[in-house]
Amino acid sequence: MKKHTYIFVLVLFSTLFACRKDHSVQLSFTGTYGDSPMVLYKENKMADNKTMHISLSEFFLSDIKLVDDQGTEHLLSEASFVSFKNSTDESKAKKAVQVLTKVVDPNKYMRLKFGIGVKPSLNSKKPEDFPANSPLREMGFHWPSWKSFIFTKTEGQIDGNADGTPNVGYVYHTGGDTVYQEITLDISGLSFSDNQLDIQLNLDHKKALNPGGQAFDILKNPVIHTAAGLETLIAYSKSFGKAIEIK
Amino acid sequence: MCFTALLLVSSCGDDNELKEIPFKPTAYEITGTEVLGQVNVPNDNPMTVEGIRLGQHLFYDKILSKDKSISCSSCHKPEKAFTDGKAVSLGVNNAPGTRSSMSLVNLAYNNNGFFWNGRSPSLEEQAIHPIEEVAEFNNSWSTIEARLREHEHYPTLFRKAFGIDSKKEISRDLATKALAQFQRAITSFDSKFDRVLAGTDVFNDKELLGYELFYEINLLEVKDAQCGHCHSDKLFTTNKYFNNGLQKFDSINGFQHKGRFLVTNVPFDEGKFRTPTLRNITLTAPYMHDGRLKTLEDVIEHYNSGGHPAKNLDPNLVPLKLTQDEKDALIAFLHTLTDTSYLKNPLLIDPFK
Repeated sequence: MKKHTYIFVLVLFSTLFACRKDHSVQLSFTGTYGDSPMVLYKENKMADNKTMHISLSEFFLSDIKLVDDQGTEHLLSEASFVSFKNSTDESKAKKAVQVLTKVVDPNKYMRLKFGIGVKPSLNSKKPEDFPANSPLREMGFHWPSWKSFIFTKTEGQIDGNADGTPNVGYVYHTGGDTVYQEITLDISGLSFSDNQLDIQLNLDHKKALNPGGQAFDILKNPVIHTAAGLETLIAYSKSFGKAIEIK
Repeated sequence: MCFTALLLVSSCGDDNELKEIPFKPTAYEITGTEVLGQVNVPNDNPMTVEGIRLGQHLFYDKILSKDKSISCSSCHKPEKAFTDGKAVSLGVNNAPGTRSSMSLVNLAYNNNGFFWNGRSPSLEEQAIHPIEEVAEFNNSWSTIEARLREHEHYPTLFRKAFGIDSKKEISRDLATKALAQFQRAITSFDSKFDRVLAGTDVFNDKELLGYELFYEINLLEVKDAQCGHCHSDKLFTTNKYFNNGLQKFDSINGFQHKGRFLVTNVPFDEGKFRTPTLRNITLTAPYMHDGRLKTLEDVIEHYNSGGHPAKNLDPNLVPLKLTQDEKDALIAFLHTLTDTSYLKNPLLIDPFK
C-alpha cells in the first residue's frame, strides 16, 4: 500500500510539473505600406505621387529589453535581425516575422526598449568576430568604409520617367554610431494570455519614406549609402525609427 | 540444420570483415576561421582527417561516373580554384551542361544554398546530384555503392572514416558525407588582400585605387564601383541571389535562365543567381552562371554599363562611368584576391598522382 502511495505521488508531481508552462514573450514584426501589407515589388505611391516598389527591407535591432512596473529592465536579446524577404505576396506579407521568443518572469511589463541598428559596443566589431549562428553574421551587412554594420537596408525602384512604372534603382542604407537610436514603446496595455506576452510591432514603410507626409526625393538622391548622402541618411534613420509602432 | 548454422556463421563473418581495421578518426579543424569567422559543421558529419581523405579519393576518382571517364575534379580542377575554365561543364560523352562550374573555395562558410540557384541546402545533399545528372556523371548511386563495396581500397577508407564493420554499410549517405567534408576543407584566406589587411604587405597604387573603388573608401576623391554590396565581407560574396542584369527579356516571366525561381517559385526570383566569391577570381574564367563573359575586362564592362533593365534588377547596379584607369585598377585589386596555398594541403590535391 505504502509503495502504491509513493508511485501515486510521483505520478501526480510529474504530471503537475509537465503541465506547468513557463511565461514567455514573443516579439514579431509586420511590414506595411500605409494601410496595406508591404509586398515586395508591389507598386506603391509616394506622397509626391511617384510610383515605387520595395525589393528589400531588412534591419538590425539591438538590446531588446522589457521594462517592468518596478522600472527593472529585462534583456531579451543583444542583437536581432529582421527581414521581410518572405513578403512576396499579400498573404505572406500579412504574416508576422518572428524576431524572438524568450522565457520571462511573469511581471507586469510597461515598456519595450530597443535600438535600431547595432549598438556601438557591437558595432566596433566585425562579422567574423561573432559566432557562426549570430544574427551579426548576416552576409552583406558590414561596410568597411563606414567601419560599421549597415543598420537598415531599404531598396527598390522608383518611376524615373513619369510613365507610372518604377525603373530607377534606389538604395537607402543607414549605419554608423551617430545614427544608432534607442526607441521606447508603451506596452502597458498588453498582458499575458495563456502565459504568453505577444508583442507585435509594425514598420510602416510609407511613414519611413514619407516623413510627415513629405516624400524623400529619391530620384534626386537614389543612393544613400555614401558620405555624399549623409544628410539624407540621418533624416531617413530618424523617420525609420518613427515608423515603428506597436500594432 | 547444420547447413543453416554454417550459413549463419559464414554470414556473420561477412558482416564484420572490416572490424580488424583500426577506427581512430582524427578531428580536423577547418582552417581560416581566425580570418573568415567560425563555421557551423553539421553535428552528424564532424570533420575528420580520415573523412576528408575518403572524400578526397572519391572527388578525384573516375569511378563515380557511368563510363569511368570523368571525376568531380574534371570540372573542379584545383589549380583553377576548383573550376574548369569552360563556359559550361561537360559530362560523360562530352554531354554539355547548362552551368559554369562554380569555385569550391570557402564553401564551409556558405549557409545559403548550393549550386547557382541554391537548390541544395547542404553540401551533403548537393553531392548527391552530379552523380545522377545525365549531363554530368549519368550514373546511379546503387551502381556506385556496388563499385565501392567491391573495390580493393574503398572499404578500408570507409572503415577508417566512419567505422563501418562491413562493406555492406558503404552507402550514398556516407559517400556524400565524405565528399562534403572534403569540400569544407577547401579554404582560401592567404591572398595579398589578406596580408595587406594583416599589415604584412601593401597594395601598390593601382591596387589601392581598385580597393577604394570596390568598397567606396575615400569617396570624396574616388567613385563607388558598387562591387562590395554583393561581394562583401571577407568571403567576397553574400551567397545571396541577385539579378545582375545579364539577361534581356520581354517580361518578368520571360527570363531564359530562370535561376532562383526554380527553387522558390517566386516570379521576381527569375533570373537571379547566387553571387560567387571573388576570391581567386583570376583563376575562374569564364564568368557568370553560363560563362558568357570570357574575361575580367568583360565583367567590368558589363557592370560599368549597369546591366539590362528589369523590375528585379538589383538596384545597386547603375551605370558607373568608370575611366579606363579605374577599370584597370579594379582588375588589379581583383588580382590581389588570388591564393592557391590550399594546393599545399596534401588532403586537397589529387591522391592518384
